[in-house]
Amino acid sequence: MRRQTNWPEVVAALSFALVGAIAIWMARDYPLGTITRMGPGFVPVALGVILILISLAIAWQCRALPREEASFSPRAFLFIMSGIFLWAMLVERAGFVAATVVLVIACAAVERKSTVRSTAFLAAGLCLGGYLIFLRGLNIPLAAFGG
Amino acid sequence: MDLLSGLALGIETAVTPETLLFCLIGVTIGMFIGVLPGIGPMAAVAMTLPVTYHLEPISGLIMLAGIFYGAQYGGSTASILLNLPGTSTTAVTAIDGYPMAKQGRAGVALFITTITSFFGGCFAIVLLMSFAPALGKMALNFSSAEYFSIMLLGLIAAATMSLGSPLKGLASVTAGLLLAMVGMDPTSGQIRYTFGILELQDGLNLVAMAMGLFGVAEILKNAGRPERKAKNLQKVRLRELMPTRKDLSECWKPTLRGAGIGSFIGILPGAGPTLAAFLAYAVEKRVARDPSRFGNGAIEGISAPEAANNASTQAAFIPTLALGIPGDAAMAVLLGAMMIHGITPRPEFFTNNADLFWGLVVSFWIGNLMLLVLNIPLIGVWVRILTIPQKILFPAIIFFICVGVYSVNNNTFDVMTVIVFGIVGYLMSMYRYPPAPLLMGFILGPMLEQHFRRALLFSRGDMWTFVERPISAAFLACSLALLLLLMFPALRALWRRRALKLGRLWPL
Repeated sequence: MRRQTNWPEVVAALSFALVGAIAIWMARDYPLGTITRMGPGFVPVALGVILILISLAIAWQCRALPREEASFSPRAFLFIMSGIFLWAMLVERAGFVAATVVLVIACAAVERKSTVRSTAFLAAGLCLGGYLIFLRGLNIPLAAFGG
Repeated sequence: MDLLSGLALGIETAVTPETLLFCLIGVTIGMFIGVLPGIGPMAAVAMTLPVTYHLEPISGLIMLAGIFYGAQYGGSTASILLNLPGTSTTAVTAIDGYPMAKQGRAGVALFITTITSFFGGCFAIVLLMSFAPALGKMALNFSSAEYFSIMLLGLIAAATMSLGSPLKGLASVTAGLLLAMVGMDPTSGQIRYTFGILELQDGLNLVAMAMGLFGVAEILKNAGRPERKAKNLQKVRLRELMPTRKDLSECWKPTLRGAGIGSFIGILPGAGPTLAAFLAYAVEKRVARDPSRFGNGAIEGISAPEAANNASTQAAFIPTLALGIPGDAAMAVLLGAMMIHGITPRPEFFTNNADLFWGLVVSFWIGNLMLLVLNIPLIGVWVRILTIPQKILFPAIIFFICVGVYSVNNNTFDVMTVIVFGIVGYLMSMYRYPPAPLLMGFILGPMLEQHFRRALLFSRGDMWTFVERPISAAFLACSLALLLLLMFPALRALWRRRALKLGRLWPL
């Protein structure tokens, strides 16, 4: 009996090939030069070709491996990523404190054991500590409140 | 400069209140990070990198180096007490260390690992002092061809000697090299792969990449999961620490062998402490009269790998400082840090920056001594670190990542970069592509390209230049040998079996 193709692995491998292909495609604007005087396009194209070859080899090697249950937690992924995103969006507009509070709430929401109390204490502590170390100590040009 | 005057200069540089303080801070952070499961020395070095911009280069380097080797000490504590390796380099220690703890000999195990770590570290520092300047002198004759070949060897070694599929390692390294192309090409001034984004003209931000790949990705893997901790955490009392005479006589030979293996692996570019620890363990099992004791609390099983991983982290400084070629990915981050401080490690480093080199060496002695003192009496404190709940730890780490990355260039674009590489790192680890080679490729990429182009310019386009120069040819032969080794199925099977034991840990 033929084993099923392990599509997730194959797709993962081929995504590296995609990166290589994009690199080669974009390099059409960069002069290749000659072997003696290489232009800026030479090395990226060479790397792109190598990457495509390697990823095809991996795809071939992995095509029949048994599939593994990937443990993916969409909740953690979504909350933490949006926490970082919001911090980056807010920190220059709404200030360091607001951004940090939002970040801490988003990240703490992932853990089921978080309580309102623990999160509030953590947010307050990080705001104060961060203010003293980074804004005061290292003179990072951010306002604690407001943009 | 001879050894003695070098040491004198080193003591002068490294024994000032400021450098001592930052050495202490560095090794303490290292210990802390090492004990915490799920966050490695790489993320710690990346996180503290921004702080070092505001320091003297020597203090900054001493602190970063301290984090790096301090983490090796801390990692073993979590391995022994909880069977949860704090860093993958100490995963081997758990094999025999945890059974020892279950037999009520946790104290002895901790004591032995600390002492052997110290010994391994010192052994490699002696090598570093005597060997690195000589290597540097030899490397003065290196031309671009040699540099290209040795970097290639380092990259291939990093890709293939990590645990897991060597092909995936190669894909990771190549992708890293491609990412290094982003920004301005130094030879022609051409702007490449910026997608019209102004911030990308100077290339991707190293700190943001490292934090995404190692910090955020690691937390994404563990966040929201039930905490794997501390049900059977034992109390360790101070008087339980002393090993018996039998323990000591059993472990000095393995320690010596471990230190030797570790130093050798450390000197090889691209091969990191995880490999050293594994190799040392395998050797001990082979030479032991009764191999069945391994896995059940054999003292050789903890002393040899611990000596090896510390020796290898110290010895990794030899290629890093002498040639500018990092021994592994964490070294690569350190190298990136040095470059940011305007120090380019290269053969001239030993004469032009003699104070930095010897200061760093002396700080290693001091740092190792501090770790010895910190580790044993404060074991209770380190154990308590393991009980910090995730609900506090994870948001705090993410916060420090955000502020740290922001502070490098004071822009939010870099923070967005962290998100992208967090996703990339998470996906990579899901499909078992090691992220460490990617970072090595990224850091060595610009140098590799420049030396490649320059070598061919000098040889007027003759590719044989890489083979005609004997040293370069030797490096290329080693690279080829590594690639060929992977073709042998027997070796590959052996590798896979080891990888299985390690589970999903990457050699960082």
